Amino acid sequence: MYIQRLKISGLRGVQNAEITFGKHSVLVGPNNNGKTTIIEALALLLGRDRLVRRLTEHDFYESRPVETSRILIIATVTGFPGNDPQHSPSWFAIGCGGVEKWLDPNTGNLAASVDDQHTELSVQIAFSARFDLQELEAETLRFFVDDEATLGDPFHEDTVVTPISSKTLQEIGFFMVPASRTWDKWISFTSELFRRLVATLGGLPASAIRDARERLWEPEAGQKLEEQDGLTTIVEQANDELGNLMPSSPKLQLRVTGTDSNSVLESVVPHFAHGDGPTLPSARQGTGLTSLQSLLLLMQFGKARADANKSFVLAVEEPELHIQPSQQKRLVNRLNALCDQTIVTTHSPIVAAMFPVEATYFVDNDDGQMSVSPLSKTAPAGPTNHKQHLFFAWRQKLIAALMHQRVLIPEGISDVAWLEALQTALELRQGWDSPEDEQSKFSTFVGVVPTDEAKIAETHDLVRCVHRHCAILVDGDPAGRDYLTELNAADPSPSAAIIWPKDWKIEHVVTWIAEANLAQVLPRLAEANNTAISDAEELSTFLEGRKTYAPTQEITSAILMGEAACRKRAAQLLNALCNTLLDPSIESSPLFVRETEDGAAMPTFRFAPPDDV
Amino acid sequence: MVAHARYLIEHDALDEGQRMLALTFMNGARRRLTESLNAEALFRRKFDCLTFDSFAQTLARRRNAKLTDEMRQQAGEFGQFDGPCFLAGELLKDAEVRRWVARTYPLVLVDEAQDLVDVHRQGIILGLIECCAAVVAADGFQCLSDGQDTADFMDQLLHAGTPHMLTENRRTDKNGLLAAALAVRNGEDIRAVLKEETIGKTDRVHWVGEGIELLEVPATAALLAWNLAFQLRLGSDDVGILTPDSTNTIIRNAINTVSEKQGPWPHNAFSVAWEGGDNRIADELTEAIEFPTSASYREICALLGEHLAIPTIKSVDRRVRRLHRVTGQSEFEKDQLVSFVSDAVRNNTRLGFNKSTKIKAMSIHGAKNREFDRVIALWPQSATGSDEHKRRLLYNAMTRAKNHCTIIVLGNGRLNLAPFALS
Repeated sequence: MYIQRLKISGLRGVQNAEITFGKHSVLVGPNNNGKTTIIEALALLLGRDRLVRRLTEHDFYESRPVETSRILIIATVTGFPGNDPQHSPSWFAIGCGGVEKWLDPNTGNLAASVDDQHTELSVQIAFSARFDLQELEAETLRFFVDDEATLGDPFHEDTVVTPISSKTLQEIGFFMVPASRTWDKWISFTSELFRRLVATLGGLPASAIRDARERLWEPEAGQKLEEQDGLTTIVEQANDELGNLMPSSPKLQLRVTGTDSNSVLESVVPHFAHGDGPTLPSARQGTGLTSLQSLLLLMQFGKARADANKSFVLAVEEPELHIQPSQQKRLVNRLNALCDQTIVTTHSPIVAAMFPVEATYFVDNDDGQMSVSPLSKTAPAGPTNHKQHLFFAWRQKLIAALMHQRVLIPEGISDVAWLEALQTALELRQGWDSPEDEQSKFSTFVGVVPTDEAKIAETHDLVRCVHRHCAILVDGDPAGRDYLTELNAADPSPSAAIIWPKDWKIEHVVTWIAEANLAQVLPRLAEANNTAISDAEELSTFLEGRKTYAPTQEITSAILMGEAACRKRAAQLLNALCNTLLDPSIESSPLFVRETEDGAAMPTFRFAPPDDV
Repeated sequence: MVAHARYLIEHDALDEGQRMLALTFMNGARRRLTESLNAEALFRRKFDCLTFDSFAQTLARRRNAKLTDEMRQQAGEFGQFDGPCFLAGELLKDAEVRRWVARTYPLVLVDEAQDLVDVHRQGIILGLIECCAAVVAADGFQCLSDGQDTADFMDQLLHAGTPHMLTENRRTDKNGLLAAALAVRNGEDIRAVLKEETIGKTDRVHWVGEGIELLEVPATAALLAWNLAFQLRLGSDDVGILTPDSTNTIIRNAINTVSEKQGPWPHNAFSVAWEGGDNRIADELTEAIEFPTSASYREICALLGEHLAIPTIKSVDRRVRRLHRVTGQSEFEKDQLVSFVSDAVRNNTRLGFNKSTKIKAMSIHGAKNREFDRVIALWPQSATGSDEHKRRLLYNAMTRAKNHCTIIVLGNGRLNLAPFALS
C-alpha cells in the first residue's frame, strides 16, 4: 500500500497543499517551506496515536485558531493486495470500513466506479482537528472519506463520519524517522519500534529476562549491596530505627533494578564493541554509529513486514544526518528496496540525487499556498537531450541551486563557472571582522543553475515549474536581447531578468572587477596564466578565449579576490545582484538600471558599471 | 426466524469482525428485536439492529458518490423517508455495493416483511438477498396497510429462498385466544369458537374462551370508561389498550375518565398514557421555556440552565454549547431551538428512554411487533377500511396478547359484520 496523494489544509504554515507522491519520493526545498509539515501531516494521519504529539494553537495555520479553524489532511491510499476489496475487508465494508474509489494512474483522478481508465483500487482517509477554545486543547478525528466533494465539517453535528480504527491504519505499516532523533533510546525496551520488532521477529527473550530478574532480586550471598563493607553500618542503623518504629522490623535491602521483568527490560542499554576494543555504551559512541545501527534496526523491522507480505511505508527526515555520504547512498537504496513507499526530506543534494527526477519533489510555499511539483513528470529519454544532461550530470548542482530562495539561470556555463569561482574566492577571504562592503550574501540566497550554452529557455521552462523565483541572466549582445524577448513571452515568464551592458559578457564583468586595481593585478594575472596581457581589453579577450577552462577562472578569481579593491567591487556586484533578485519590484539600484515599466511580469535590469572606473 | 439465524451463526455464517444485520420497520420494533436478540448469548455483540430508514440513510450517504443526479432528483420527490430507501435500493443493484455490505453483514434478518408495502423498502430486501444470507419473516395477513398488498413481493421472496411456513402463534398458549384469532384470520364468525355467558345482574351477554373475552358496550364514553376500569381492575401490569382509531372521541374521553376519576367507582384512577405523543411533549416543553425570537448564546444558556433538571432540555443545552464551540454560532433563532427540542424528544422516544410503568394506549398500527400480557382492544364504529383490512387489524391486536385479550365492541349489533363475522 502507498500514499498516492496528500491534501493538507490549515496545518502550521500550510493553508493549502496538494501533493502527489510516487512510490519513492524525495522532498527538497529551502528551509521553512514546509517539508517537515508534510511528514508530520503523514504522521498525524497514519502514525500510532502515541506518536502524535498533542496539537497546540501553533499547529493551526496562523497560530490563532477560532471556532471554525480546522486542520484537515486527506490521503488517497492505493496499492491494495490483489487490487480487490475482497482481500481488504477492514478497509472496504459498511460498518467500520471505507468506500471503494478507483484511481486513474495516468491522471491521478478518482472515480466512484471502476472503468477502463480508473483501474486502481483506492480509499481516502482523513485526519481533522479543531481547537476547543474552552478546554484549550485540540479535538482530533481520523476517519474514512466517503465522498470528498460533499465532505462537510467532520466536527459538525450534521456530519456523520466513519472513524478509522488504529488497527486498520497499522496495516499500512507507516513509520516515521524524525529529524530530531534520540538514537540511543532506539535499541531499548522503552522504544516502541524495538518492542514491535522483537514481537514481530521472535518474541521476548523471556527466560533470560526471568533469570536476570531472579539474580537481581535475590543476589547470591556476599553479592548483596547492603552486606558490603561501606554500607553495612548505614543499613544496620536504619534497620534499628525502623525496628523501633514498626513491630515487624522491616529490613532494608538494596537492589539494582525494580526487580520486576519490566524494569529489567527497561534497563537494557545498547553497547557496541569495535574490533577487540572495549564494549562501550551507545552514549559513548559517535552519533554516526548509533544512527546507523538504528536505521539498520528499522530495516529489520521493514524486512520482517515485507517477508510477511505486509505493507511498510517509511517517512524519513534528513537521512543524511550523522551519516557519511558513502553510507547514505547504500542506506537509501536499501530502504527504497524494502519499503512499499519511502518519503524522504533532505537538505543534501547527494541524497536527493539518488532519486529519479520524477520522484524529486520541490516544495514551494507562497504565503501558505504550498505547491509540490516533481522536477520532471516523466524521465527524459535520449542521451543528447539537454534535460538528460541537467538531470543526470548536473543533478546535484541543480538540486543544490533549487534549495535557495532565489534561482538564477545564466545564458551559458561560463557564467556559472565565473559566478561560482568569484564567490568561492571571495568567501575564502572572508573573516568574522571583514569590512561589511567586502562580504557577500549572494550564495546564501541565490542558487545558480548550470546551463548548457544557448539552452537558457529550456532550462527556465523546467526550473520555473518547481521554483517561483526564477531569474535569468543574459549577455549584452543581440542574442541576449532575443532571449529576453523569447522568455518575456513565456508563460510563466521569469520572475526577473538581468542583462550585461551592451556587448558585455561575464568576462567583461571580471575585467571590470580587475579594473578596481588593474595596475596591481594585471602583472600577476599575466604571470599566473603564463601569457602577456597589456590592458583591460586584452584581458577580456584572453578570458573569453579560455571560457571553458576552469583553472583560468579559478586562478584569476583567486588573484582578484586577493586584492582588497577588487574584493570590494566583486562584493558590490554580487550583493547588488542578490538584492535585485530578492526584490525585483524595486526601482533601479546603483549597479542595476531597470529597463521595464512598473509591474512588468518580467522586470528587466541592465548592469550599469559606475562611472568611477 | 431467530432460530434459523441461530442455526446459521452456529454454522459459521459470521467471520471475525462480521455481524448480523437485523432490519425492522419502526424504532419500537427495533428496540424490541434488539432486546430479544441480546437475550441470547450467541447473538450478543454480533448484530446491528437498524430500521430500514436508518440503514438506507447510511447507505445513501456513504455511497453518495455513486449516485446520479437523476437518482437524487427522484429521491427528492419521494421525500424524507422513502427517498433514501429508493436510493439504497438503487445502490444495491451495484454488485460492488452489495459486496461492500455483505463484507460486514453476510447475514440479514428481516422481521415483519409483510409491512414492506412500498417498492423502495422491498428493493432493499431484494438487493440484500442477492449477496447475503437472509432470514425474512413475513405474514401476509399481518400487513396493515389497506389496499396495498405485498403478494407480488412475497412471491419474489419465496422464489429467492427456502420458505418455512410457521402456522402457530407462539406468543400465547391460550387455546381460546388462538382459536378466536384464527377465526378472525379466516373470516369466520368469532363467536362460533367462544362460549356465550351472561354477566351478573344486567344479564348482558359476552363471549368467553380461554384467554379471550368479547363484549359489546353502548357507544358512550361513560359506559366505556366503566367497562375499561372493570377490565383494568382484573390486572393492570403490562396492559396495552389498542384501537384501530386513536382519534375516536368516545375512546379518548373514556380513557381520560379512567385515568382521572377518583369517584366511588372505580375507586382509584388508572394511569394510562397515550403513546406517540412526541409533538405534544415538545410543544409543552417549548411553551414552558418561552424562547425569545432571537437571543445570544449567553442568554440561551442562562435560559436553558433553569430547566436542566429535564433530561431533554439538558441534551438541548449540550447541543447548543457544542454548536457554539464547534461553529462559533453566537446568535440563536427560536425556530432552531424549537427544532432542537423536538429532536431531543424524538430521540428520547427512539432510544426508549421515556419508559413508564403506565398502561399504554395506542393505535393498532403503533402496536406492531409488540406484546403485552393483557390486551384490551377497543373497536369503535369509526374503524375504516375493507373487511379484509379490518380483519387484519383485529387479528394483529389479538395476537399482541400473551395471556388475555378483551375485545370491547362499541355499539350494539356489529358482531354480525366484519371483522367479527363473515360479512
